[in-house]
Amino acid sequence: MKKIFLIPLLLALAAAGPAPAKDKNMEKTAEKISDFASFKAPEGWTQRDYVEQGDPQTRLEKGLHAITVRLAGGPGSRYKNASEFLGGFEARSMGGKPAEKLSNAVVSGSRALVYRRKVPLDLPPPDESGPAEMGTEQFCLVPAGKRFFVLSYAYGDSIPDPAYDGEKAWRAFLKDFKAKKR
Amino acid sequence: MRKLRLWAPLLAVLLALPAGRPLTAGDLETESAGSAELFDGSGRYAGTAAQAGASAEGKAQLLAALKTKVAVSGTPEQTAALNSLLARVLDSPTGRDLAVKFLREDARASLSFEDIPGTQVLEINGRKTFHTSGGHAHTTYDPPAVHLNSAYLQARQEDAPGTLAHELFGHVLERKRAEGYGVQDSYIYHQNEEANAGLIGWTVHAELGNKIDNGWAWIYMANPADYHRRLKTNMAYYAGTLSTEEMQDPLPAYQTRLRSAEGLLLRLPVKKEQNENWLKIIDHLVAAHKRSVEAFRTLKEKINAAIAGVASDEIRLKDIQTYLKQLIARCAGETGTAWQRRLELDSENAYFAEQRRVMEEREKVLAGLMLGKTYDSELPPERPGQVTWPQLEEMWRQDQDSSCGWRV
Repeated sequence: MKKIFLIPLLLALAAAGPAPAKDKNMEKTAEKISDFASFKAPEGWTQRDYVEQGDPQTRLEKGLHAITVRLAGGPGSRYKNASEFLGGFEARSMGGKPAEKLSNAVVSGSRALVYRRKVPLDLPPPDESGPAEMGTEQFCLVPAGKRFFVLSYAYGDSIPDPAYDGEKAWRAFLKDFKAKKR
Repeated sequence: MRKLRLWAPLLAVLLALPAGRPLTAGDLETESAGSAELFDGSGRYAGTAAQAGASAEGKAQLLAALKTKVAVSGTPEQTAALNSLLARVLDSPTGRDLAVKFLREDARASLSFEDIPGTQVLEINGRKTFHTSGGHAHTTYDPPAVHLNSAYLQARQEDAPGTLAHELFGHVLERKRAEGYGVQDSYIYHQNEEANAGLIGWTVHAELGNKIDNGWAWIYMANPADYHRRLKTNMAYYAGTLSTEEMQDPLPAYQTRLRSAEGLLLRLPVKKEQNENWLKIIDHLVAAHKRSVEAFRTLKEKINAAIAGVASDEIRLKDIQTYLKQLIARCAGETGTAWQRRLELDSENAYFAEQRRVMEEREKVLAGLMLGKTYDSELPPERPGQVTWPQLEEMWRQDQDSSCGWRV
């Protein structure tokens, strides 16, 4: 980590270069999750649409509770199919072990495995080596034609919320979620 | 002398070479002195990373050339340790590749140990460690200076080569490259400045046979966007870094982040109250339901640590707010418009596209290394007989469903 970064403003000539570099994870798509699925945000949760890693996504939040709906496998996606996703880092715990199979659920009329993986939450600055506070993320995959949804739930703190049962809201969300036929 | 003894076993490990024979720093000096085919003694190195990796002699030549560009200073014990670290970095293919690039770019650096304030060497589960910064690079110095935490002389020696590669190649060499492209005043605002150095350090660390236990590496490999987002609320400097697209119009990005930091600050009292509520719940379970107070010791320690952490989170977020406000103010007026225009123009510079291309290659290498050496991130067992979080949550659920009637 570089801590010394105070740079004077100098108006040097710009070096000529090719077209602007696009960050791979900033690839845009006009698609919206609502075109592909129907669901209801739990009461009191906020809802936000965005695109990340080439996939349209919707994030539902209440405090540090978060449910994410992500449509992967499209043209700009990191993953061609569900198998690729399950083999990748996003389906593994810190340390690389595959996510554990937690339970079965019926989601959008199909049986789905709900996985759980351990994820780092609070981290020291990147140049320091203190231990990370760990939390868990639950996720399941739901087919959407040639593509697939990744539905996930996580609470953003290693200390649970004594006032709200986010997992109960997550289970209710899974029951309500419907992939649209297209 | 005591510290030298601590380094002795490391030297043997650090200098193990493909030939299978442990090589000492002295051996390397001898080898490099006797071969001038690839290195002419003045820092001009005509070899390749592959040649350097093919034999002990090749590595020695590369090391000798690198040492003409990296001025090591300190006590004899420190310089011996630093020279060993340079040699150890060259045991990694990525380290050799970047050392060759360092020479080709005619980069230079000074290298020394530094006592980093606040560093304490701790012993945890029989292993010495420390939790402060491993080092830093002053890239605008002439020559640029790399300082490694002197605690590496006592602890976490296996981490030191990765940190050295991160600072020397990830920051110093990168500055030289940015100068070559004419973006030395703007590259520091790009979010990949740290991510690229991170990738270099993690890759060298993994290539040297270590497991990657840095949470940032796992977050980055899972989702680079998440890595960048989380880094931006971790330290003020990162809050000011931008994606290539954001460089084209930085002001809205800074304004959004300022609102986000404000939102996070508003959450802190809630977080504190939630933790205090758990303490009340535990007290209730002990007082009203005769649970053993000792069984909650570990959880109470964690909760109290979290409450104490709220204060440092507040300081960190306020630092981020202050820095973002400075950057927003910097965007104002004619000079601010010129600065934004400079960032916009520089975002189109080939430097950033090339850096991204190299990072993608590095990510593939690192992915193979990380998935080839997986481990269970389970923490060491806690004290026996302690209530866990799921157990406490269940006790609390049952208490709420019962006729007890007590509420937080």
